Amino acid sequence: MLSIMLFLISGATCETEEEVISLLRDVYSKLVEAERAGADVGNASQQLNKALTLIKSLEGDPTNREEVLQQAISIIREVDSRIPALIEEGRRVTFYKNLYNGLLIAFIVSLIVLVYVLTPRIFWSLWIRARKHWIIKIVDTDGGGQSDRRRG
Amino acid sequence: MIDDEVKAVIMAIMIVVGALSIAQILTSGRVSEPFSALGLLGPNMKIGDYPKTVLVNQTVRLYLYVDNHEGRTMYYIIYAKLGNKSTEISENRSADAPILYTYEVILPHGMNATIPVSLKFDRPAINARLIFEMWVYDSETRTPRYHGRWTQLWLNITAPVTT
Repeated sequence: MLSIMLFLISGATCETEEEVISLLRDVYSKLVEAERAGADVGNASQQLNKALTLIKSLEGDPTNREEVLQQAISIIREVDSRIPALIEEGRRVTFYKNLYNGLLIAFIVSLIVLVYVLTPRIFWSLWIRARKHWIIKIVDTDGGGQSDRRRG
Repeated sequence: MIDDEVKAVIMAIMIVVGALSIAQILTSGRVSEPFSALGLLGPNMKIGDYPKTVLVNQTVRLYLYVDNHEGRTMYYIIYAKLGNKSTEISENRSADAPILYTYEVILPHGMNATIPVSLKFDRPAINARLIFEMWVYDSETRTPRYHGRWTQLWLNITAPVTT
């Protein structure tokens, strides 16, 4: 009975490298989903890579195996706990980004319409302003028909 | 007033400029040509000075360079395999050779990693191909998938001379 209890306790606390890698891959899959939702997962993925490096370091140096595995598990669980907040933040950022893009596109379209409508008016007001001191003198009233450039 | 032709030209210019600006806004932040890079560096972390002949059980030190430009976070798994000149490998097919070592790294988009590699070979081989294959962990199927990138190093593995 005691041996069974000891076995169960050791099984609950002592994970193998494969189990920790499996846990890490599950969290990575959640991170990918979060990234698709627009979350910035750069920092979280670097943390996950740190946990992966710790696990892989046991292949060369298995000393302090338990301690290293627990450290890796705590990093993985910390990243896992941050994912819902990252998704929420990602959705918010995506919403504001879409809103900003929509406003920017509306502004560009409005600018096109305004330029089309206002360009002649602006052009002629500038033209008149540039020549407001001009004095017009009619020099030839008889033969003006040929050199008159006005239309109509 | 301004001629209709002039107004049409102004309109055309504005539409072209506007369309380009809108296209720029819609495509900003997107990766048009996603790719991953895998490189093998020599013992001095440079391209060169690769070993050509090694002894059985001699430690070979190299470096793997992994670069992520996929536009998303990637989980790379690099398999080191030992093949020979008849081992077939391509972008679509991974080498049918025994896996010697496995290296794993998680990289966000735009990041790279240089992984130290220490290898030992337990038997002699002439014209051996040390193949490094890039696989990725597919979060949809939850299995590693060959990513079509690979690099290799030709080696002669010789038995140490006994006196």
